[in-house]
Amino acid sequence: MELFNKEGHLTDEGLRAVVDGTLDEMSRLEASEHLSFCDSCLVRYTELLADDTLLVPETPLAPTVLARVRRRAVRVFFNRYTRVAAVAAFAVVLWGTGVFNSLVPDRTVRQQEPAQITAPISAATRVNDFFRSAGDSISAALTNILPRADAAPADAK
Amino acid sequence: MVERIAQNMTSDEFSQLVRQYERLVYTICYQFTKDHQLAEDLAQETFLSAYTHRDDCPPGSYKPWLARIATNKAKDYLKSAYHRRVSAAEDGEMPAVADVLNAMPPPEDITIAKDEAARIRDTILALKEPYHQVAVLFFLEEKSVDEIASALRRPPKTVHTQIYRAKQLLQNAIERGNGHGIVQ
Repeated sequence: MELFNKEGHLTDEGLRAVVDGTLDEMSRLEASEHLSFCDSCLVRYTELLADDTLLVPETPLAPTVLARVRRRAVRVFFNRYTRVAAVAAFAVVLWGTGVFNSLVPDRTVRQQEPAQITAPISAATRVNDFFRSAGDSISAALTNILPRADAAPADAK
Repeated sequence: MVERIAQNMTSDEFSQLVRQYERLVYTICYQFTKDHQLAEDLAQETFLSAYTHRDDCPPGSYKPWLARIATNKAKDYLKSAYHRRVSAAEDGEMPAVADVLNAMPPPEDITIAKDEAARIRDTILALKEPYHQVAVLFFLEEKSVDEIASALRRPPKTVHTQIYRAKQLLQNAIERGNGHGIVQ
């Protein structure tokens, strides 16, 4: 029995042998390798699989497959939202340290001293001021969070 | 109705898809593995892959699409089983293919008698598909894997595998001292 023809496609008798289950393991591997990329042979193969020839699995597949799909979805959901929650928690901690204070306009100052803001301020000056104040805020926050280098260890006391 | 389901498939629609095609997918997996339990496992894996890549399915082509995934699952299983078996044999009494080929002197250092060269050539030409065209292009015409894959419209990975197996068949024939036994 010839499994492949000279062009390298599965023969009719080869496909019939797949369906009848008369091929050895090596031939089944070769046939499955070919069907994994050859559209025309795959169509010829599926045409042989008429409804009345199909086998019925011992246990229905749908409940198990759907349960596995749900488990996977739950896992993906928790992985994703765990990351979001971690980022949110980190942002709250930073907010508490005052890092973002420089980004919020100080309304009281502006309301009390409107006359002082008379001269036009260039964009470069605004950017410089912003980064300077943000840098000061971050330094202050880090000072609060990190132990000072010259501070004695707690257990040394 | 299932054929009209495109993307954004709901759970109920996917469930219906599984019910409609579970016999087809299970039958394909069984025909290649000849094992009921294994066929069930591979059929489940087929539908899980289908769910993951459901957006890749051409509309109205669920049957060939699922059949392709199922044959791929069966192929992957058979391939790994084959490699386990070959590795075990090579660990035992059989020399590794690569070892034998590497042990052979490079072509420029040996002089093969004309009749010997002709015999090896005949052995290669006597290989049957799916190894014949691959072996001729690789051993006789010295084409690269990519060139062979392009010429034969086969995936490069498959060409690689077929070259490897063709080498094994040739090695066995050379060790036996005749090329007639390699024809499958």
